[in-house]
Amino acid sequence: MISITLPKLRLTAYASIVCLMFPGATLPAEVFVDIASESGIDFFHFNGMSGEIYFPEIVGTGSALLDYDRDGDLDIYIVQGTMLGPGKKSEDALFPPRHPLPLTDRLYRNDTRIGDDGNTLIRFTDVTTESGELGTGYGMGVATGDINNDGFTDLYVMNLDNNQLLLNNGDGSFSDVTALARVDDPRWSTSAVFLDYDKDGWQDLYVATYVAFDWENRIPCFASTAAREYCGPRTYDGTVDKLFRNLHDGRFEDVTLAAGIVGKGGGLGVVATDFDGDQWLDIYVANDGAANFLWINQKDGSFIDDAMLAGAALNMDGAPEASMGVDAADFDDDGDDDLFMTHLARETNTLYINDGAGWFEDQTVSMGLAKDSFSYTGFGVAWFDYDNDGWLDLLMVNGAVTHIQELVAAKDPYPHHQRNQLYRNLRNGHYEDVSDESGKVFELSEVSRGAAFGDIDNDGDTDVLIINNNGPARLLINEVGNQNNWLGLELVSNSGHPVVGARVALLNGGKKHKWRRTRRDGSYASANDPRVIIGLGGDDGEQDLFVLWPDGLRESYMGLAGRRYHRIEYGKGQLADD
Amino acid sequence: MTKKQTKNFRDMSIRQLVVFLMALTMFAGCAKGVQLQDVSHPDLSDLEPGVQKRLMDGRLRIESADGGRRQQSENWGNMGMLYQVYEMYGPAQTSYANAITLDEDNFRWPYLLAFSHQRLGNYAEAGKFYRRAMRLDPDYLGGWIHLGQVYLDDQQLDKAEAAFSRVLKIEPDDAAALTGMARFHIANRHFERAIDPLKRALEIQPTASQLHYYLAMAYRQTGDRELARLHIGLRGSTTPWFEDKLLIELSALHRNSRTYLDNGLAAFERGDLVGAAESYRLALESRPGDATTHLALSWVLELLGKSDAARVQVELSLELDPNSAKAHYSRARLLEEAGDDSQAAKHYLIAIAGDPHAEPPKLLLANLRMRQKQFQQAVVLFQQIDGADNTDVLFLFRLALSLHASGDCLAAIAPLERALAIQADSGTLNLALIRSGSSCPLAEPADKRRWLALARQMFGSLRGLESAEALAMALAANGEFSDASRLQRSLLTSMPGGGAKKFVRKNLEKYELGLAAVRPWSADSQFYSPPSASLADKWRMAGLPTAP
Repeated sequence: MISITLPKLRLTAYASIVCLMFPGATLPAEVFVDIASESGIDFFHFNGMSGEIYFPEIVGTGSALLDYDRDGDLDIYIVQGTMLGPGKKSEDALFPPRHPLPLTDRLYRNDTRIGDDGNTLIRFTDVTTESGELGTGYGMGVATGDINNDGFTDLYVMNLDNNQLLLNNGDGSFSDVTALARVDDPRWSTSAVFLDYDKDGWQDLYVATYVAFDWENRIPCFASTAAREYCGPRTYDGTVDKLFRNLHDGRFEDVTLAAGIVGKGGGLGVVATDFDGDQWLDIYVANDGAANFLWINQKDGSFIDDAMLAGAALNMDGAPEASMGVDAADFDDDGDDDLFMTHLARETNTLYINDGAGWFEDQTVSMGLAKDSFSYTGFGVAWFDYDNDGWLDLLMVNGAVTHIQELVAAKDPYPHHQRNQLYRNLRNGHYEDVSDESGKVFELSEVSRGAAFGDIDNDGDTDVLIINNNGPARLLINEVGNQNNWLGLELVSNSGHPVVGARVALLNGGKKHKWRRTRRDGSYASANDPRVIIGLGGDDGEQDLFVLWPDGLRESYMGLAGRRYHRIEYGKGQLADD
Repeated sequence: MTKKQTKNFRDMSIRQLVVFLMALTMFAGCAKGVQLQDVSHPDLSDLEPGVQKRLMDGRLRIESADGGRRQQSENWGNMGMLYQVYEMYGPAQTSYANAITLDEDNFRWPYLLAFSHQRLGNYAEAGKFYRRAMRLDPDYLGGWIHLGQVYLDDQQLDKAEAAFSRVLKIEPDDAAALTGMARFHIANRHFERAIDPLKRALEIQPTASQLHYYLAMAYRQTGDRELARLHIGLRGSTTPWFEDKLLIELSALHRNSRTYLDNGLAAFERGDLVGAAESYRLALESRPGDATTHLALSWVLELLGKSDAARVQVELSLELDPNSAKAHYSRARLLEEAGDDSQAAKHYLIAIAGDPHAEPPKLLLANLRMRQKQFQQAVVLFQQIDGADNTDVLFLFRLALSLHASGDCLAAIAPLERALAIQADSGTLNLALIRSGSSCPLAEPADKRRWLALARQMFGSLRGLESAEALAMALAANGEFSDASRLQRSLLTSMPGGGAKKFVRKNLEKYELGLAAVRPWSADSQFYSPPSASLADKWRMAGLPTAP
């Protein structure tokens, strides 16, 4: 096992604080550092490509940050590929697998500890072989949830073909209970979300399915030079997503039709939050090359897609975009969740601002998020406050899905790689691309797909795990966030189990601000840390917290000290007004 | 440059040529006192030969110009256009820059350079070069529209308004400029002001369905949900059109084997076989050695009746892809047409084995098997065909004949009845049902009586040898042998000699002995020998091979 030492404070720390307090000042050289290999994350994605330009090989994969062993820190589950194509063997692979065969998804246990010298030693141990049944298909993505309310996080793994539900046995192992739970979907899917859409206290499952790819009727696609090229989503029919209702006994019921989930999309990303302020979870699906869905919860077990009139189906010019990753958060601090999604190069990423009633406006251009995204094909993305200044920033990971002609001409063996991007919220509704000033990890050019966000080292700032297609995983440790003050929150039920789907805000003289949601969803093909970190900037005082629980209970929790995590238990606060 | 020099040039490796050209470029530029930018010409070796050649020819033209700076500028600009259509934006932009350096007065190059920057989202650069272009040709309205769009995307809203206003002063009915103006209002959140220009643009270009979305959002923001929903329902992806000759010229340059193949297919679909053949030839020029294109060309040549030329293309295709089911199918058709049924059958079988779902080879082989009197095999093949099931009367007719001939006369009745359900007034089908049923000893007596009634009706309305013979068969099948014999004898006196007469005589002998007929037609009837695929059949069955 490998361990590394992270210095608690770098020489740049002072400069960082100065810069964070004064927007516009120069950022420190390393906002994030990649410690994947040093910390024991040796994952290298295998996409099974054999030169046949199979569409699925360019799409995966993602990862999950979850505390599967409930020891208080985030472990890592990474989705792997296998050899791809009828009759293909691993010897046919252009890029041989770096892990022993047969390839499976991999689980890394977080064994981070404080060393004798007081420094944090971030260390992971690959526990794949001792973890029971993990994903074995041609993997795409993963979602996390707790299907049986036992407090242990379960996994739903999405594959090119059959998906898998992996039940956390609570003893460090998982069991594949797909058939028993009746949540298999043999269609290509990449992202899903566990949500309690009917407020019965049990997590249901929405699976965004992609396209009706078919080996027998595979369609060839071509570049402008007539060279073979990866297909786009419009080459194939979209498919109808799935909604499974939790029956509370380990089984689910497919309620797709009954819930009114109709319409073929091409879903790659999905988030569930209350967009229209009625305190029922709605679902937003980012479709690739088709109008996005906004499933508004009708509070009777059914949904209606209101994306068109809500202005969140198409971009400002009325065109469907190639949506991949998506996130929902209150970036403008006005009390409602807005939407951001990543897109294909030659489209921009798109920011939809919520008016509070669930109507959106595409404000990508006016917020400064269009220009710099135009050249990139974005996948994983999240709104998070990397510098804990209290304002939500954006990180998007990129990688083209077609051959970049200039890389082809330069004989690049995998000509799809692009740089990732970090955008800082300028606190005036605008964003600035700060990638160039944010460290060497942003100089890397890779084919990034999933990005999972969470506090790996429990130091009060958000780290990022990036999965690269046909490349290594990158574990980006945040070097600057905890130099500002922060408030960590872990919302739990009265049984002590993590709660998602709640909304929290700081109370300031009766006014609520810095709204955040507890979630695992969003990004692309990935699952995030359900805990919440609220950046406090220079405010080192105690904080009062408002919580809107998923069942509508409103509570306040007063006098929470900064720079530490708080366990916020349902029903233990003071009843609060709206 | 002499022809010999050019030939030597082509003999060089691409890498050598690139280095040589770069050196020559620098030299040429310096020699004339102009500092040109180094163009990082991409390695073309992975591109298909036709595309390589187009780009290499462009590069050669850069170096071989004799016409001075203006001509060199033209060559650099054209080079940029070629790079741009193949999405090599870096060298395209440098080429345009050199074209501008060599001829600062040519509007085309800053315009196209601006467009390439716009495509990449480099709005500042796009704006800069559009402005430069528009100084050179202020009357090119498309340029002002593009410039306005760039300003909108770059949040320079007032400048955008000025650009669109400029167009509208000259051309008040320009839908694209009206749309730009509406977008300007939307960007300023003046939704009410956006509605009029959008409505006007839609009046001018009703097919510009994208405008409905802008209108929907504008109505939504002004509180009119009903109109918003109405326009959402009408929205589409067609953007307002405006004339931009230069961009039309640019897109026309995009040619490669795929575009030729697409053109070929389009020509084929509109019945222009000559045009299709020409497109496929061009595709092969651009990408020699493509099995599918050889096959597509062979099919078109076959339909043009040029069987020998078609055969050459099929053989070339099979050399490249010996296992191609479609190529074996083509070879089988051509062999059958040449009269070699035995070899044709062999290649139909290979085609069927290679693509068990393809039905045309099964149909053609089944017909061939009928000609070979291998009715059992014909039946097996017919029965494997799903697509022809209940709608193709010829297929049903031949299936019935084959079933009867292979000894299952009772099974032959159902397909004939299905065929009659589709085409009730067909004399041939009605007679076939009477003949097949009446020559089937296992048929039910009630059916036999029904067929006799039908035969009498047919004979009454359609007097002739065929209907008389069918009536005689039906009479015999119902035990009315003396009437059958009398009718049969009268037939004999009026028939010419040959196989059919022999068949009638044999049946007469049966009737005189108190026996019914056991075959509907003589073995040498044309019905048992379907012709090889006709041109019409080929058209019907030809789905051109698609790309690999």
